Amino acid sequence: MTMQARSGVRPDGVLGRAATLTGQVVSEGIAVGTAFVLAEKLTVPRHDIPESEVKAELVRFDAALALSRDQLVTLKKQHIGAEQAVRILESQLLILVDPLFMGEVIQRVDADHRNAESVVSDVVDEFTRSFEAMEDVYLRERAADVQDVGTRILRNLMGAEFPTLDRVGPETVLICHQLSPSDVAYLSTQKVLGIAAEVGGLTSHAAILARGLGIPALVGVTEACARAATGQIVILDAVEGRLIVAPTHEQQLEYQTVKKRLAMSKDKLVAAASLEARTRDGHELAFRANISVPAETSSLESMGAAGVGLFRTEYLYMNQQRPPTEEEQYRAYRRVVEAAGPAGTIIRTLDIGGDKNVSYLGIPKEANPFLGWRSIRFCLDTPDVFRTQLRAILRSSAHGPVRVMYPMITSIEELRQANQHMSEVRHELITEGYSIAPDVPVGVMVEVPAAALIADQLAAESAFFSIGTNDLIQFTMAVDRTNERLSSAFEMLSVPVLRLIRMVAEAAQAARIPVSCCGEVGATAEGFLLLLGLGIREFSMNIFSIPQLKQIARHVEVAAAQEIVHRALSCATTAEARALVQRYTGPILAQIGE
Amino acid sequence: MISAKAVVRNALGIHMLSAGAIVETCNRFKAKIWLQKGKRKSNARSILDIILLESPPGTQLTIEADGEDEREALDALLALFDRNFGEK
Repeated sequence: MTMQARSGVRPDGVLGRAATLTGQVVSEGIAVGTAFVLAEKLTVPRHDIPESEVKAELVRFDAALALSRDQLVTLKKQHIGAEQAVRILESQLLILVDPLFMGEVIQRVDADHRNAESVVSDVVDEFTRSFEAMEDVYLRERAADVQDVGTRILRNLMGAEFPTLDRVGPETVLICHQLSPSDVAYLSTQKVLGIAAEVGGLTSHAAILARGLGIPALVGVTEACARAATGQIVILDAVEGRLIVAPTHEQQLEYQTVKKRLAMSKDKLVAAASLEARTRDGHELAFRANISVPAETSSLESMGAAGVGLFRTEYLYMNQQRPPTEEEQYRAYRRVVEAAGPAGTIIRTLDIGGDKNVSYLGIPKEANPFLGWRSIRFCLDTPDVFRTQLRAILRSSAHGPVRVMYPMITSIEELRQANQHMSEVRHELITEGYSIAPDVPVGVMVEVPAAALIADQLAAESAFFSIGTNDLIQFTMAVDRTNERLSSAFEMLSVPVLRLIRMVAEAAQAARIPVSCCGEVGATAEGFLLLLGLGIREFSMNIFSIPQLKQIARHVEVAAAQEIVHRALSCATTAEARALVQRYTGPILAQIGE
Repeated sequence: MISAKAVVRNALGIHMLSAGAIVETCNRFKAKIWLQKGKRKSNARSILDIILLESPPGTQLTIEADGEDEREALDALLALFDRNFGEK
């Protein structure tokens, strides 16, 4: 093993050759280290067995099960205290003795006269497919546990060696087919600099774990296990999405510099985050945070956020069996309002439905949930739920500046109906003796083309606008943003979307009300520049993007942004518009990176 | 054979841990035990079969038990559902 590790020779005797592989970044960063290739894929032997050997085959299977059990029990003992690992191992012990799983294997060996390895492999595949067909993403990914147990049984049947993370040396880049749940626990204690997995997605165990531990990681690195060998030097570039096997000396030096620069520019950005965001031609901009849970407010100050621009309240309603009570909501809103302080908080009323469903609210399954009974439509039809939320929001206004916005507004009638509830609830609270702020401005989230087209009328009855770009793009382009085949059509830089945003910004300016943008497109250099040129001066985005966007803001001129938008609006294709914007943003990004 | 209805009320619904708790409870008894959701029936001693029922919070299940200690088994399972499988 150590010989292999030093020479970089694969088990089949072939020296891993220099290669650059690509993958998807799931946890950003750069690592230069020694490869440790884990769990190369097993080749399962498949053959018939004569009837006379069925009994012996079942005895062999039984022995493999017993051995697997002993191994899992030992692993569990080694992890006492690591609660998550112990739970995973306990679940795997139950899978190992699952009557359905094991019964199926025994029955097929007996009836089909096939060797145990091929039957175990088939049954695991069938369970994996059933798991992957489930709706719940978390349950779907538990297919990995079934596969993990299956692989263990197979290895024991075949007498194959277990490559475990125990042998991981220092300064290691872990390369695996798929990070298995029973490996999870090791990573926190071992010196793993980076991870490259052949399969997995953003919500896979490997990805979640890597982000949580701050370890750079790539997934979807096809053939990584075959192309890299344990002991070889590798560079994991989880910024550009590359795994470089056996890099040249020059490449190694180059990446050590890139790594240092990345760390320095991150530190520099965060250090400058609290400075104001003024453009080169003197326009003052506001950057606020989009949050989903009160705990996120702990980073407001260090990331330089000017308060909360979007508190998505639906997360209070999820993972529950009933709607949150007025008191529960009040406590959550108050916590956010107090943390945001004088910079203020914008609370969005319940935006449920679409891709966010809550079983107890009784929203039926619909053919087109994004166009369905959701959001403000649901709230206006279930006044009990809506008014409880409005009461809690108004009560939180006693603790700092609060604004409220309604999502998915498509007509003046909806706005008036919602405001009617608001004024009745305000009256109730005052009668009951609650102290609430005299002024709680109410605004409209403009995220449906219908609202953009009547922005002038809505502006007359709103205190502010906030443009929700994700839904606005989706509805304007008639593109379901969760549909992978259409994802390239989900495009901020398209002219129709820009024109709608311009209408909204102009209507807001004419009515002298503030207009902000709370979609993630504002967190990209290109999107930010276009929005700036269209007249947006307030931005709300995920908290960790704020330092970089503030830095970009300090390098741009509003006059230039206006000129670029003017030309982009007449571009015939999105590619032209993009090239136009990038000619301006490219040099700025390069300058900030240094 | 006896049966009773139970509602899943823990935050995550029936997932690995809650399914494991059900299997461990069943293993203390001799009776045959099933969980039924709509038309689909699962062997309550099989962690995989239970998970494949797909029971998010709010799901109503029928628990069936058959055997000499069916009453004790059913009571123990109902108590487990009531305790939200020992979760918060």
